[in-house]
Amino acid sequence: MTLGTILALFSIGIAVGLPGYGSSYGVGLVGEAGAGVVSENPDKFGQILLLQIVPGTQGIYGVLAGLMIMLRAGFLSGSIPSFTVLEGVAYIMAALPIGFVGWVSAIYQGRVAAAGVGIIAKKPNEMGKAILFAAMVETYAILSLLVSLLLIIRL
Amino acid sequence: MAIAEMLKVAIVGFKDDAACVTDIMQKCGAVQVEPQEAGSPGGGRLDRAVDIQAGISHYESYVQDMKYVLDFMDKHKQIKKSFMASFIGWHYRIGEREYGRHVDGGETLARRITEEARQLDTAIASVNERIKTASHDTEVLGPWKGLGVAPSSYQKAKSVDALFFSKEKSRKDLPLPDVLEAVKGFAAWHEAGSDERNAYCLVLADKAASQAVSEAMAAAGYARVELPWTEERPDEAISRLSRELAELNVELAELLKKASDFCGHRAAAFSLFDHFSNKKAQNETAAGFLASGTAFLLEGWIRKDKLASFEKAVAAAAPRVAVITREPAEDEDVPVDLINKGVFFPFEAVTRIMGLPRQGSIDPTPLLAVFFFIYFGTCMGDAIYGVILTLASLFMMKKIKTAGMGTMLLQLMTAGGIATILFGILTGGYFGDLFSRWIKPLWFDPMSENGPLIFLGYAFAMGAFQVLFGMGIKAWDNLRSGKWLSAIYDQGFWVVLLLGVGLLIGGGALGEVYSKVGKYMSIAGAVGLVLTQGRHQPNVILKLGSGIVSLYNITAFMSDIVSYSRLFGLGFTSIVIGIVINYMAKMLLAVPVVGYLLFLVVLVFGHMFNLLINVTSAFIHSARLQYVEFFGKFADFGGTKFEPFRVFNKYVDIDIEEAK
Repeated sequence: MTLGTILALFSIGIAVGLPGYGSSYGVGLVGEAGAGVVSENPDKFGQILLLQIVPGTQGIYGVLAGLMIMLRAGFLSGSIPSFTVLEGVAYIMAALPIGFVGWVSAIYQGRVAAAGVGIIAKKPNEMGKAILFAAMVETYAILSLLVSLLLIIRL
Repeated sequence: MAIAEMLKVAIVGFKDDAACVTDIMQKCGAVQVEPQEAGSPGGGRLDRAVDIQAGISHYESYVQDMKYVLDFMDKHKQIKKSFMASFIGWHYRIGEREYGRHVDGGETLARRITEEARQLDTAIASVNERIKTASHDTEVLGPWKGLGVAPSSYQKAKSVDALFFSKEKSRKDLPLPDVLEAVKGFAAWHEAGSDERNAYCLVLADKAASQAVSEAMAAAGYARVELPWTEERPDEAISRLSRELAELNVELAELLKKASDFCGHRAAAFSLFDHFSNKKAQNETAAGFLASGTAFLLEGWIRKDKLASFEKAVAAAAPRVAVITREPAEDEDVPVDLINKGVFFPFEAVTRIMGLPRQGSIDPTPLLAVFFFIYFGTCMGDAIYGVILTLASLFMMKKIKTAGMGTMLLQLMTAGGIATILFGILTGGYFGDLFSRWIKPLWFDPMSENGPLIFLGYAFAMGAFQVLFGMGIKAWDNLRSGKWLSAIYDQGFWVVLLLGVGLLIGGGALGEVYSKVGKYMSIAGAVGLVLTQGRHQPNVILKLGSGIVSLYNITAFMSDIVSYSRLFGLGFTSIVIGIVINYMAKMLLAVPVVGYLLFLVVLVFGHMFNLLINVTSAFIHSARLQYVEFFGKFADFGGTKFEPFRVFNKYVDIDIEEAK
């Protein structure tokens, strides 16, 4: 096991861990807001659940980027590959976009979605708008995922 | 395929016909009534009429009764609703004839079931109350089993009060004799035994001293207990109470059974609730009509295509009523309704989530349909997912009958499923790479060496095409309203510039000539923009200045197109996660004996999860690309929704049965 290999593993941690942290925070926020509404009106459960999923996607993008690194770097095949330090750092650099943007955008998206729960509570027919407000935040997570993926594929 | 044409309508008739007209309006659902200002020429409103107010409160009381009955039923027998119903709305399906049977003579039926519900409710409450009292008495009397005297005999004593106490055993306080020694006039005490937690005692005190005894005992940590003054000894009372409890529980079970059977009237209660609500709405609408001594007048909006059938219905039922229509005036705020038929119908849902376009502008539904279809398929990107999605939405359409938005969304999912199948076939996605050894993609494999770049290029190309298409629509809209200069300056030059830049960048691959053409197109477009974009400014310097600044807008176009990379992001995510699920499932094949079972479980649940997550994202992001990138180019939103007076059913969904 070389230092480069450790760094490559660390890049998987960045790609999976940070967006996962952000998503669990965001999904949690929406869940808290939603539980209040459901206690009054259990019929709204389905709609709110849909809204709660929205900030969860960053976590999935993170897992995706992490899996791509594992695939490209060969962590999923039989033996553990060995990398130079520079190669390891390159993997970390490739993981940074989705790591940071996934983390922060999931939290902000969770906040928007939690506010959107109010829309569902008062005007259930306008649910599409609540989801779209939240989806606007997602753009940046997708863009950063895109860059991370393109970098990982080329490494 | 467009925004519905509206006419202003006025309906005039004798007051006697008002009820009949509201009934027809509600059934046709074609007229939006505008409540009239009282004090308009001709006098007051119909809501002054006593019978209208009486009608409202009459039906309101029935609506309340039915609500009570339904609440009662919910308490005793929950109705099963499928999980999906909570997404697209739940209704009780009922045949037209059955509905008619409940509603004919509905008031008698309503009174009967309300009365029955009330009786059951009261009976259940009273039995529950008696059970509560009996259980409480049993509990209180329990420790006093050994008392040997009926509590009521103490109550009859003239000079002595019987005081019952309990004390927590764990507390170490003064022993009883010491406590009572201090009190004057004390008569006698008796320790009545103890249970796990408490010790119990009875103190007989002079009436004059009972207050002092209570205080002394309380200070020593004894709590007063109120025994029920039964005529029997406590042990007798307990066995009587346990017999009573058994009987009461039988009685309660019978009543609950009756209540549960009573829920068989649910269909009737649903039907009647909706029937009375609609009747009440008729009266409320009629209250907004203008009225003179003998006539009524209402004004509102009607959809042009529904005018003929409405006039026919009115003429048949109320021939003395006149329906007068005119084209809307320039300055009137005309409500907007969309008409989209056939394949375009489901895509109206996408437009409606955004809102409604203004009257006189363009309905974007048919324009976005193809793009939405392609994008949805691209984001999902797996033929088997597409088959599942299509079948699931077809199944739900059959199972849960919905109207309006619900139907649109389910049909949209069906269309999305078909698009997914097509894109899956193009890119060889069948449960990820599960069958990639046998089935080759028709177009490209996203997981191949150049796959991701082809995918990304395709996404950008779709973006560039849709953005230009949007500008084309705006140009056409300008031409249609005679602003042909705007069409050339504001859209034409931009299209030339953007196409030119595109050729300049990408044309080199096709040949030298293309990039040269691109260069000149870019220059021509840019010069055109610099010369025209400042045309509203007062002087030459400002004109040129704003013209040059306007070129900066090219960054907006670039960011629009970059935004389409989400198609690649989402589509690729779906594929890679599918592949990883397959990978994990295949690892489980190595497990002895149950390997195949585990393989199947992980495969099925994994792909279901991936499918569900992707349906949401695919829908949201395909819609967003329409709203922000596409609508921004031409659409004019902010129309007022056309809300005709119509039948509104909260609970029932009536199946129209053809007469045989």
